[in-house]
Amino acid sequence: MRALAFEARRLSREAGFVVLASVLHLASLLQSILDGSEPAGTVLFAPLLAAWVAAGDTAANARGGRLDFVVTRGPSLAGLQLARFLLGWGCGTTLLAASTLTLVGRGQYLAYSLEYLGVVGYWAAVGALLGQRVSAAATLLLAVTTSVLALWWHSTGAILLLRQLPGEWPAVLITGVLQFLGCVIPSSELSWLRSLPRSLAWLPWLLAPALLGLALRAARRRQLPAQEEG
Amino acid sequence: MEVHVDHLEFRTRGGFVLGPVTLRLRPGEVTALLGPNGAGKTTLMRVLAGLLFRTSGSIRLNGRLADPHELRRTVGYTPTEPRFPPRATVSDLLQLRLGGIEKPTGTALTEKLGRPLTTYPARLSRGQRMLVALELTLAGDPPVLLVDEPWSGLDPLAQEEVLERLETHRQRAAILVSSHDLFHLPQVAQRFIFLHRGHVHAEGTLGELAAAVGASGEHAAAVLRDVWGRMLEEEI
Repeated sequence: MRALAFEARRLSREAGFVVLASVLHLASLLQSILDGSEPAGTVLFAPLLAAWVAAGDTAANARGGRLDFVVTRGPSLAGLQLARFLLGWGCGTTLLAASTLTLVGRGQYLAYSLEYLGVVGYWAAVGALLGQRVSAAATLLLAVTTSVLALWWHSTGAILLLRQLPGEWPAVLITGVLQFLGCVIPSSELSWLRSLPRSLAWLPWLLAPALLGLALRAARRRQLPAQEEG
Repeated sequence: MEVHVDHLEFRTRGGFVLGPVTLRLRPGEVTALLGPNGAGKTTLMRVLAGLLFRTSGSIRLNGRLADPHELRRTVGYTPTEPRFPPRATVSDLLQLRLGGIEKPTGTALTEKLGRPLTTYPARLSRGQRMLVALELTLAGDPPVLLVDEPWSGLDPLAQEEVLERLETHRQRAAILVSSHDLFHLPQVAQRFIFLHRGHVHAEGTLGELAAAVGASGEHAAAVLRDVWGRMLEEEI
């Protein structure tokens, strides 16, 4: 809890984040109110926001000796990473909630939200894992790049390179890897992936805890060398 | 709390080797760690603080084997160049360690630091950061305290303050202070350890060291300089 409060306070003082998150949440609310028939488009940013927040500045802080005071007589590095993960997931979830506010109570709302929540959790776990080695910006760039690559594969790549639809064997293997490991958009949102088994939509719920476990294990094993050894 | 370090070794991929080092830190005693640049003082401190993981050997706290995670939880460490996470105030860092700040603690700390708890230590000068770092380290009353180069870059008044803080805390902890400062160290330390090229070359009280080099022992700094010189000559 201490680590979560500490990281939350630091995050709340990050002007860029506060402005961006506020704009996204306000835009989501506005769009939801103006057109309540479908989720606001800003929902696409929820996994990206989660990844960025979860990655945080751990890598730079660890390399710069700025965590010495935090981890000695304080929470563990794994505790800090867990806090960043929870903050990331929390931020993504509030954006998801703001984007789907007017859909509450409708038929597909629960399934849609749960699927998106899994994707947001997965990307928060990716952020917690990658954030120990690279910056939040690099994590974000990776998420955007792999998502664009996945969308290109689904729409053009599979036909262009394999002369197959993305749901056909063996193209479906690449489709699955790109979609479930690299794409921030849930598979049910992509019409050309509707041929895939519906149960696969829950894959992020399995991948997220696995990746988070890896992230926490890496944090536990992380040594913190000094900038200059004397 | 007593710290027992036995045949401790730490190796890096780059070929740096520390140890084997065997030493003991006793509660109520300040031990000085001396040695030229690159001797391994900071590395030894970081291994003892649990920030680096030992390659072999053991570290025992009151006789119980301690892993790096337990060392991190138990040992207070003030590094040479105290750095803090951005956007974290003194108050944030205190709350992180203590769980909450009672008003008297907050007021006392504000007085000691001469600045409010909402100060961002990352934005302070090096000397100010060292004082804040030391206060933060001492705040939780750690039973083992490691302080790396506490006097470097501080003005004379701040240096006096550090001496006073170490002397006060000595009653409650086992303290290891690393420094090149032959003037301040004898004022606070009871035992001295000379480290060179990752190995302990000499160890003892001022009297023991003086006897070893045949000095009178009246001038502490001169004795330490003699031992230091002897240590380097033997290497040559």
